Amino acid sequence: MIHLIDCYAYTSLWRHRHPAEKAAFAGGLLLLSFFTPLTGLFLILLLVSLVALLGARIPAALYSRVLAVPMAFILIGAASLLVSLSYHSGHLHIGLAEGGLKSAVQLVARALAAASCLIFFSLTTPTADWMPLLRKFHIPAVVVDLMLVTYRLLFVFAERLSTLQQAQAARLGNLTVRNRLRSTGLIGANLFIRSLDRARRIELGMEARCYTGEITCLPFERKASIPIICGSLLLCLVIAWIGFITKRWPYA
Amino acid sequence: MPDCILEARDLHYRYPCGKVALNGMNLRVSAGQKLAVLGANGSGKTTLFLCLNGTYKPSAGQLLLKGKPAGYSRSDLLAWRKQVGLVFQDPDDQIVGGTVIQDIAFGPLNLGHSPSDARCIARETMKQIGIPDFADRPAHELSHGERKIVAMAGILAMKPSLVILDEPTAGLDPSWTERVIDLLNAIHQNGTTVVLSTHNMDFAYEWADEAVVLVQGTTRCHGPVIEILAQDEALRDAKLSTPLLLHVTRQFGLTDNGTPIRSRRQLLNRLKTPSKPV
Repeated sequence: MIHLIDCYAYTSLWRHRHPAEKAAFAGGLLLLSFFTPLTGLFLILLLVSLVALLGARIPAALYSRVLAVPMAFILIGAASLLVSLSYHSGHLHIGLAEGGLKSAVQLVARALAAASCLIFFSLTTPTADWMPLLRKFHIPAVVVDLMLVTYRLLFVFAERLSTLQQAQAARLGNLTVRNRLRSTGLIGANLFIRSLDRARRIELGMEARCYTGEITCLPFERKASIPIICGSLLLCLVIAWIGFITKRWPYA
Repeated sequence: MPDCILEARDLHYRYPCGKVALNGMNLRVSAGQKLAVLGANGSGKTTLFLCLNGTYKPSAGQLLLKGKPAGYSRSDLLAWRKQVGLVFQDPDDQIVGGTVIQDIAFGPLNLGHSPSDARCIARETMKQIGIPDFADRPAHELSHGERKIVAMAGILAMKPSLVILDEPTAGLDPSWTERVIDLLNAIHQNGTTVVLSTHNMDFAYEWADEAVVLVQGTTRCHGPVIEILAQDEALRDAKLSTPLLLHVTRQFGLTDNGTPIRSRRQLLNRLKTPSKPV
């Protein structure tokens, strides 16, 4: 799934929009989704989905598939809010919790709205594009450097992992449960040793290119559009205002 | 002697585990040369290269950069690596950027270029080596051949006067091999000195001016490639083979008007010439 998102992001129609523009839009709405009442949440979900599907032209199948991933967790969470268990005088009582429906609906809506913001951002902005921006927010260089190298190595190890699995399968390493356990253990040990070795080698590789302890990143080529950022923030204010005036509605 | 830009004298290196990798290695690299370093697996090629750019500090022996003993202080190493670019055998050891342009700009940015300059240099380098449309591609989606070219671009963008490549053609298909060779010839034409290691004897014979043969951490012989590769005994000691072309031309006494035939095309032309019967 992560690979799918990463792959798509690199070919996204909106890839070359400045990450800050997309972050202002998705991030602003994400923050808003933490506290706005139900009306606001529906607006956010609707708006982000429309922008994702019609603006950035993310295929609906992909968008819904990625959005479905957190659904299992969300529904379990909602179910636990809906039902109340109590224990009185030797009897177990199971029933609908008071106000449970309202909080369950709110939880689902809130989670979906927040997830849609994140998914919109991650499907239009490859990790390699937004990570350099973190330096602008005064995140320490060490942290950003680690993130950059980790991101790169993630794929090196994923490749290694799948090769190892294929190699084991080719020598029938996963026929029985016992074998499979043993094979998995071997892979773990192998990847651990290799990751240490790779870390050392990539350090040499970086030193050979005059690395002096801090990765300087290439900033995004285009400038961020101030009108788009301001427009996004204005939009957040409007939704916050709608949420505020509809707060008293039933179920809001 | 022409300008010697890098010289190794009696280098010794022992890994922390006790394995002796270099045991009295000598090497001279002259400006403008194409030098092939030949040796079996484990003969010390990679260790030698890591010593040649200051990554490993030899336990004994001397390294001279343009005639002066090399220093290992931070600023010395920086100046050293600016002059001597090392391309690793496994491109994954070298590619750190998420996208190709971010990776190629890594070196120029480390050299203190401004981000916009670094971007220009990266674009120029990509154009020069024929991958102008790679800029925004993620590094992990490149094929092995593409990654090798990108790793080379990352070093070339730093404009070193000497480029050392550890098995640049290993694991490449014929078309990528040809691209890499063309690229090496092009940078050599531009005045860069090129040193590379290879197991491909035919390629070494055709491409290099000079060759060095390494046997178990020592230099067995060093000289013009035509002389070195004709030394069957040295090649046997090094567990290497005589290039096929040399075999054939020697067997049948073929030359190109007195000069040795070193490429397939030369051989075919020679065989097609009716006036000189085989």
